[in-house]
Amino acid sequence: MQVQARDNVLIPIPVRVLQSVKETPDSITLTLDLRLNHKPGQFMQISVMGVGEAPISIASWGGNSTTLHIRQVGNVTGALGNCRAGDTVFVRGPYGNGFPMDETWKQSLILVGGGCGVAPLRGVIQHILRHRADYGEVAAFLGFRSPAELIFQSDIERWRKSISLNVSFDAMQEACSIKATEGFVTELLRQTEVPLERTTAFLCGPPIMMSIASDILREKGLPEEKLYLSMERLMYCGAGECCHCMIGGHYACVDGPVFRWNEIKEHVRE
Amino acid sequence: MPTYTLEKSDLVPFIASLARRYYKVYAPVRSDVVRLQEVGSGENIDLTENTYLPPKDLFFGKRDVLFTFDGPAMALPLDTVGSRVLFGLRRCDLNAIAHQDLLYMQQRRDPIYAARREATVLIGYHCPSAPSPYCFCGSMELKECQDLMLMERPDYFLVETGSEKGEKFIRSLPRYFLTTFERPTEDDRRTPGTDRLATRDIAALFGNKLWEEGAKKCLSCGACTTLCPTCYCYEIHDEVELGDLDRGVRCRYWSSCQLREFTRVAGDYSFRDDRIDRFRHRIYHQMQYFRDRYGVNLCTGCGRCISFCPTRIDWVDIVNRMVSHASAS
Repeated sequence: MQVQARDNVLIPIPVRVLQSVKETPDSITLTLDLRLNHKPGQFMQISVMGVGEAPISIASWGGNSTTLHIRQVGNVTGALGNCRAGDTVFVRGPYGNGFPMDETWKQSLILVGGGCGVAPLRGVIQHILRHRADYGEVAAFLGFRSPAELIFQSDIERWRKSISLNVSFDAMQEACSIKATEGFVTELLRQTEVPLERTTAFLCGPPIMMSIASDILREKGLPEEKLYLSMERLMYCGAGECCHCMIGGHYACVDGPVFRWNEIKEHVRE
Repeated sequence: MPTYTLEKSDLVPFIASLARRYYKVYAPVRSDVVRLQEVGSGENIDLTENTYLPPKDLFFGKRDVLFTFDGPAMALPLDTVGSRVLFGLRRCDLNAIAHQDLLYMQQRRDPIYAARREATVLIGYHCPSAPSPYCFCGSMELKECQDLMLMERPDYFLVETGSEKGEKFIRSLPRYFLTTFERPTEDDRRTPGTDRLATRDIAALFGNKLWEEGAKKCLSCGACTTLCPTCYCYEIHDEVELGDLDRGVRCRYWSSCQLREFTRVAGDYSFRDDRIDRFRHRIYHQMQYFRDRYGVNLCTGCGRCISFCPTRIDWVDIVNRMVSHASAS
């Protein structure tokens, strides 16, 4: 199912905002009145008329609504920061390939997320929890800059009951209400023993974090083809046309945003 | 395909007749440069060189309105396209249209592009000699993708149809076209001196140091992508009315991969920040990435990106030198 208006993929449809939660000083989580059939790791194009459109990862899976976590760093995301329950936003999608939840069925998973890169992993974790017996060990590593930047706190507490969850903060000046370590999430990953047998890793975060985490996982012995990275690029169409999201010859919008490490290893930091 | 003749002395009344039958007729006319312009008769048609600008804008507009909005209400623009004839297009530009068709007609039917494309008859003019020293269409395996193709003869044009649309066009104008048994020769399908590019397979040349030579001269001005008949990248922005920020239009505009902004995300991070990455990306997209996906080189060898580059970066020459260095060593 694809949400779009008429016969033109570039035209969004209006949806109602059911809930708007200010997660951190500069980010917001919107729950939209939209039931989607999508894969974790796919994304939507969300618009504010008069401002523009931005691609945002879907931070949920299943259920009657769709969750988007939006950090206010640009024009469109800045305008979305003012969104309240009852407002109308415009969306189209879902786009992209998503994480390979089918290929990893019955396998163990390592999830590494940094900052708002945790958002698409929330969908992955919701999918795993729904089918918990069908996945092996699941070890998640979630890193944030500081306790003030923590997102999905109540979810994280709940997830601990079902999966192995490790949270780190780059710096911990403020008091922190959840169990976490201080330092980069990549260091936490390096020091923690992870499953490697029949294991796949999903990474989503800043390019430098994904690059280092990839190196660590390969050093630990995870094969290259078991490493998946969710890449961020500027994009307009979502349909493999506008070319802004090209990584070499790959389009992040239709071939990605999730790529196998060996498909794009030259371009991770590009 | 059947062939016909069109007398050169009939060109002026022929175009005038088209101008009466079709909503618009475009043909190459010399003003400051040769441009594809709307014409009422054939008097000013200039076939001595290719048009400075490609015909791309007539299908994939520099700015196309996707929809209008007024608060939460949206409306599609009423974009009715009258029937049109484009006269005198070269094979490079005709192939470029065919390559854009792969995206905007076949991969996905873009309603704006498709409406314009379907309302248009394409009449080609085969280059008897290379219109520019930078042409390299002879290296690009071009196909016949016009509705009609005119080939140069002393007193007439030999006309070959290339589509059902072209056949119908000929039948609708019987007084100008005479059936002939003359067939185009091999020479009619190529232009001498245009086989300039040593290889279309540049995959192994990605790390070659000579790319630096082009990048060093590149001003990142975007002239190459603007004048390219095939470049199909776009960006989407909203334009609001002054005085009422709730009302406006969402538009699609041409975009250029040669600009830093092309890959810049919030936080001012640009994924192809170095000029060489942008310079090389365009050529790899034209020569390799598009072919990997759609089975044909995007580039059609018109040479505009070289002849109108302000610093005259001849990337064809750069590739040729990479190839000759490789075979020499």
